[in-house]
Amino acid sequence: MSRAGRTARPTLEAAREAGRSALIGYLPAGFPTVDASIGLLREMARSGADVIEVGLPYSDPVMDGPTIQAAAQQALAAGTRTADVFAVVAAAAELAPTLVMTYWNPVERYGVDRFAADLASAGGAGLITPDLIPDEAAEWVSAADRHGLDKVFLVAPSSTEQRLALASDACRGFIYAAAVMGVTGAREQTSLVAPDLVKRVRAVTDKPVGVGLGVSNGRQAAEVAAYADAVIVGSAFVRSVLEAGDESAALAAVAALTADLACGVRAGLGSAPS
Amino acid sequence: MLGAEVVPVSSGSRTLKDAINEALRDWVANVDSTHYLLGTAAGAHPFPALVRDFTRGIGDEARAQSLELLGRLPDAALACVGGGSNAIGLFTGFLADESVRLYGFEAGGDGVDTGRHAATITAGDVGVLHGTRSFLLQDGDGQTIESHSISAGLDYPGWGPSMPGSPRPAGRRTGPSPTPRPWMPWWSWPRPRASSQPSRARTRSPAPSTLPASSGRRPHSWCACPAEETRTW
Repeated sequence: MSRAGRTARPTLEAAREAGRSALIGYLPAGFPTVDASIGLLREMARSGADVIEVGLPYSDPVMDGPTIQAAAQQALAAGTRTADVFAVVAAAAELAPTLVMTYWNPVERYGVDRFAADLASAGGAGLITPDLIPDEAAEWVSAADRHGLDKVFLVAPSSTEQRLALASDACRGFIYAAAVMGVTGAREQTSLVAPDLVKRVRAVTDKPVGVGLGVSNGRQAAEVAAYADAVIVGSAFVRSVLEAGDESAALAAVAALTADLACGVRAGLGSAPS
Repeated sequence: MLGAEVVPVSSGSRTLKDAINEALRDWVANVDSTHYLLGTAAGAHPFPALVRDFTRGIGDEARAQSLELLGRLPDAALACVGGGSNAIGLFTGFLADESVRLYGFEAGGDGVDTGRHAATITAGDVGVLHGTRSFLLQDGDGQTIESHSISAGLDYPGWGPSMPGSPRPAGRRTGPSPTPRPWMPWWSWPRPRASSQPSRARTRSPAPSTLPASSGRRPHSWCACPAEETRTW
């Protein structure tokens, strides 16, 4: 029996009704080990992340900057397999809606329907697919529909109105708006173009919009929360784990960062810079 | 020489695959001011088709020179195949010529059995890399396996989707190698078909070494495109 049903949208809408933005936290499965990644993601959920994003480590992550590349390499070197990702999802999904962020080839290799079925059985909410465009996604869309999974495609500041409409239509759960043209990684300043992108997305859909890329602390999270339904944070979590000396230090660092970001997403709405 | 800044790649296996990863990362960050100019016939549409059209001068010139020097078309066109840019360039010039056989040679590295090679067509499976569906060197989880070749240009774990015929050509054989390596995997290409889906259909084609016999009475001639240079003899 499918345990899917913990999709992301109700959680994001509950946050919106509570007058705040939601926090989506990312770490790769198997980083630094499968067991440790389970502990870190559960800590993230307990410390205030509303939705969990589990990365499937991949050999050629072209959307990712050096920080997440390093984590993916470490996870793969430690022997992480696709099947391990479902175990990580199952553990995280007990605490919060949990999506998998994955490049397309591992899904195709595993078998699209088999992947969807195993993700649903693990209690996963769905997939974020950075290198799959809706135009080419027929097989995934039908598998996701069959198994009741979220389908999260990306839009970018360069996306045309036509593409924004196409991607927004194809999404279920939320729309992932890339805040900048570029790869993942913490940045000094929040994006100047993301507010306009979110506005353009809202013109074509009433689905929740999450903004990712570049946010690394509570202050930046508050800035993005002023206009987005969800703030997506990845590299900052990875960096906090990379910089921690051992597993207990990593758990403490992830808890502290989550708390800071969760505070930020609650401070955001209504405080938008004019 | 022309003012470009050359950026060495330090990530991953530091081969062509990783250079393409880095180029794509740089491109998305600088898309307003940068054009993506991959030299091989891989990547997302329409770039493989662009490379095919820009490199077909190899084949067009080889065809013209063959007619001029030999008074007829060659019996076969031979190319090495990595990402497939020079091969698609050579082959495209002969696609309309039914009599010209097309042969592609892959980098055998230390031998396909050793796992250290770049024989994508021989040892790869269908997958998606860099926005292209083709045959890839990949493990059971879809992780790219690093390729190995002494030739930097052949050191790529996939190959271009614009190659003639189906993504996997028909008629694989291994035969005597023109290199110091003991052998080299090679393929012959069927003529283009309507299907664009990867296919494992194979037909038998004569090995390159049997071409003299198969070409009948006249002396045989081949066009070979080993790397940057194309020779006719």
